[in-house]
Amino acid sequence: MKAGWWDEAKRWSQFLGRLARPGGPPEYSLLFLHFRCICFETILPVLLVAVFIGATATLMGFHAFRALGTETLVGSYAGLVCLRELAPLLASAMVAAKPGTSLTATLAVMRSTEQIAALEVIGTDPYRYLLLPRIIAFVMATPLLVIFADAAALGASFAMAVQQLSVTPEVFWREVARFVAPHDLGIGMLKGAVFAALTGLIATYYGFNAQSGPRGVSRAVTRAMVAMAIADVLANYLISEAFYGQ
Amino acid sequence: MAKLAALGRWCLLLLQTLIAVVSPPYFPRQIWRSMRIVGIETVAPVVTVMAFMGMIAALQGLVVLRLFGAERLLAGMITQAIIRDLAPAMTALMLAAQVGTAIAGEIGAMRTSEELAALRVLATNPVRYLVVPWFLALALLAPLLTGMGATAALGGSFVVAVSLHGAAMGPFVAELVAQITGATLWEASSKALVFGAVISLIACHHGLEARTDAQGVGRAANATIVQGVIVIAAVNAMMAVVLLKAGA
Repeated sequence: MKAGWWDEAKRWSQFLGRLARPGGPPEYSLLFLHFRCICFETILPVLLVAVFIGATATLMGFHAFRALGTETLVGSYAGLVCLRELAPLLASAMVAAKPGTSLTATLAVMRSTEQIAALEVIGTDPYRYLLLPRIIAFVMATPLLVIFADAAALGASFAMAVQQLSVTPEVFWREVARFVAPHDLGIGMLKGAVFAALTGLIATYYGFNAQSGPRGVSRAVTRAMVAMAIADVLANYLISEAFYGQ
Repeated sequence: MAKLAALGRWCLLLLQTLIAVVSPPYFPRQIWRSMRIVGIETVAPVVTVMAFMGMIAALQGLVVLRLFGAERLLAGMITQAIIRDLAPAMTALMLAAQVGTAIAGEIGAMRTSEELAALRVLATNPVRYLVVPWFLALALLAPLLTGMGATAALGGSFVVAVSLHGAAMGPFVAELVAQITGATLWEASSKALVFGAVISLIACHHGLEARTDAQGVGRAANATIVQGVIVIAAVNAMMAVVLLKAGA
């Protein structure tokens, strides 16, 4: 059970090498199926969490700025914080939590019930048939969800500022427009795609290499979720530092 | 309707747990085991994630405040954000990821192998034996872990702001220390306590109701993390409003 760092790294590189092995294009019907599943099952939680986080961030920003007597700046603060950082992170966190861990559990169950072995026996490459379409579907779906999260967080922020904190709508949108540039949206979507690739790889890796039995399944889910969270925040910092750090 | 029924059963579990917490018998060995698992296994993920969150907060804060030439406000702003919001919420998220899924998986697996039925045969209440130890461990240790996470985040923000982006060190540290007041610490630890308690109950609830096969265990772990994230965000927003009204 206690695999050293070296073994883990070796298994990762074998896994990635096997995934990258060239072959025909992935099956488009499978790709579309997984894409639709990910979008439909994640959109509601993403919107819900985005609303809460947008409102909380606005409340906090308002109080930070009130100390300076510049509470009207809350629009630009909320816009920047939500679109640049919070919306991509929370959309990816939800993608990791719902379809991500569900994918890990599915693969781990397939491993315990020897369905993966059965696939190999009938000559189907599990990497191409099971893993690749799902990973690509993650990368396609998450940027879309980031856009929805952007809209929900900004909407909640607007409602909070106007209803609770008595900022006028004109001032709010003027401040948003003053500092938020279209490329912030693009970078947010790029972040979503990168996080989704990491999520897909980690989820499939831990599910595919799970030990059999119920405890193996639950351990795979736990490790995958922790690894995805750490990978996402690390990637988030690196991308932000690269684009905004000068 | 099924969701409403599940919510009702969750509330019943909460009630049973609260009664069991204030009345003997206790299982000290189980409580000690839960505390050891929560305390030891989550420190590394919490500290890692929080360090990066602190770094990102410093980076974006610096970018925004430079627009107004108000860099010296950076430390005050991000310290408030980290201690009051980021640290409790992200620590709770990592607790749900690391411990919550493990609890749901463990109890689900015990149910699969009929260990819960065996406990009942031994006249041991599963709520007292399994749920209460996790409840106590998570509720009591979450504030402590939040403190460690906040320290890591402040360290990360210091590295980015001072070492990488050249903010002045003296004012940064002074502002940072000035923000650590009793009120903020109280807010952070009360939030963390509630988050820890809620996560433990969500995880135990899903474990106790898991379907008895490998798939059911996986689904219980999955449902735990999803509901954990949503509930943390919701409770965080509500407590922000409540604590604000109480403070103002």
